[in-house]
Amino acid sequence: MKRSFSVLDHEVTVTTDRPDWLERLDDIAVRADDPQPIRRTLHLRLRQGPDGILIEHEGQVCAQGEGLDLAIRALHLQINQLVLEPQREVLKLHAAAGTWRGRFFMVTGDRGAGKTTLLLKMMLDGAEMHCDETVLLHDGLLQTFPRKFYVKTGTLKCLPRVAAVCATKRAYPGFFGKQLYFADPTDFGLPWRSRAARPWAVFHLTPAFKKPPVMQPCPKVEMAKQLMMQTVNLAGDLGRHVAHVCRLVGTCRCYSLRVGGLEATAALLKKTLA
Amino acid sequence: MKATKPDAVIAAPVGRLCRPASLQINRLEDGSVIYQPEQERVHFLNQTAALALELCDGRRGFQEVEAQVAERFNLHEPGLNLTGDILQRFIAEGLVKLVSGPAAAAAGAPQANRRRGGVRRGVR
Repeated sequence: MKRSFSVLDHEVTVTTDRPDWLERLDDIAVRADDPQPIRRTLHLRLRQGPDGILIEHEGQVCAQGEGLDLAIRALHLQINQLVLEPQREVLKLHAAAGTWRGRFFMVTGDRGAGKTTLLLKMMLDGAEMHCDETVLLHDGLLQTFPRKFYVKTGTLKCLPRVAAVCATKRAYPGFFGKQLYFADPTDFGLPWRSRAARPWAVFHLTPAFKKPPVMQPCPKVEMAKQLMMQTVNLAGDLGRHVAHVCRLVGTCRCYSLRVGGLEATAALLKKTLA
Repeated sequence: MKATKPDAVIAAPVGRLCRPASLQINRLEDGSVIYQPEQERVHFLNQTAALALELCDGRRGFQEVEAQVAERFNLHEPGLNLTGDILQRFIAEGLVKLVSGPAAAAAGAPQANRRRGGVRRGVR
């Protein structure tokens, strides 16, 4: 028994001999449309081991999970890692991305800044949401990485429609104590597409949820610094990474967005993108 | 009546200021991002500091760089020594070296500084 799906230019096939595990694979299956041709196929297998559930890649055990929830989560991480691994020339940025009325934008900021919640709100208001965690950067061009969105419990309180969708989903153990739900735009009847383009604007988020939101132009040097700090793979040719980031910020608008109440913040973001 | 000493005057170091050829300078509209390969360090400079570094081309000394930055950014307030502080910091960080010899009369930036991209070894 198997499940197959594609992530960017990778075809992913996961096999298991347990029928009850098969539906769990649907929780992490990526259903994003991507125009890239398939260049590599990943063969993974999920099987019971003596001390937990084993994840195999090309016949080798590469991860293990105690219990099915942790095993599925580990499998999800393993798939993302295997897809991203060969992309050594690209810079991996911790950022979300969306398109509002044709304008492609990127949102970066520390964990907990509100990227996922804000973009889900934007999505419900008519934006196209591409990703909530990783964007690949090469020569000023952003490629969104179609990882399932991590919807955390804090988001559910702010967005009842998201809460209603997540109520039909299985909760998984989060990485920092709280639960998370794997979701994507198709859960809301919306298209999920990867996108590769130069962004119209980049926003750096800082949280101040009890205060009114504030949008200010961000100096490009400051944005370059923030993006370097949100870079996941600062290895190899650091000078080239710096050049890529500078090329990006040099060709788009840069803003600092203090995230306040969700409605007001989304309204401000839409106004800026208009 | 006690004789008082005049205020101490710290003389600017003598010599020409020269940035290493290995520095990778990424110019932005409001400053520059500098990559220093030897130390694997990245420096984020505002416009004033970026111009000061650009002027450290081996043809100018402290006074010439300070004067040109002051002219460009209208920094003529007495006692203000921003550029001197920046240059001292550049030297401490290894972004600029002090080389012996008098400063050449440099009227305007040399070709190396005018070229878009400047020194960009290893950057595509």
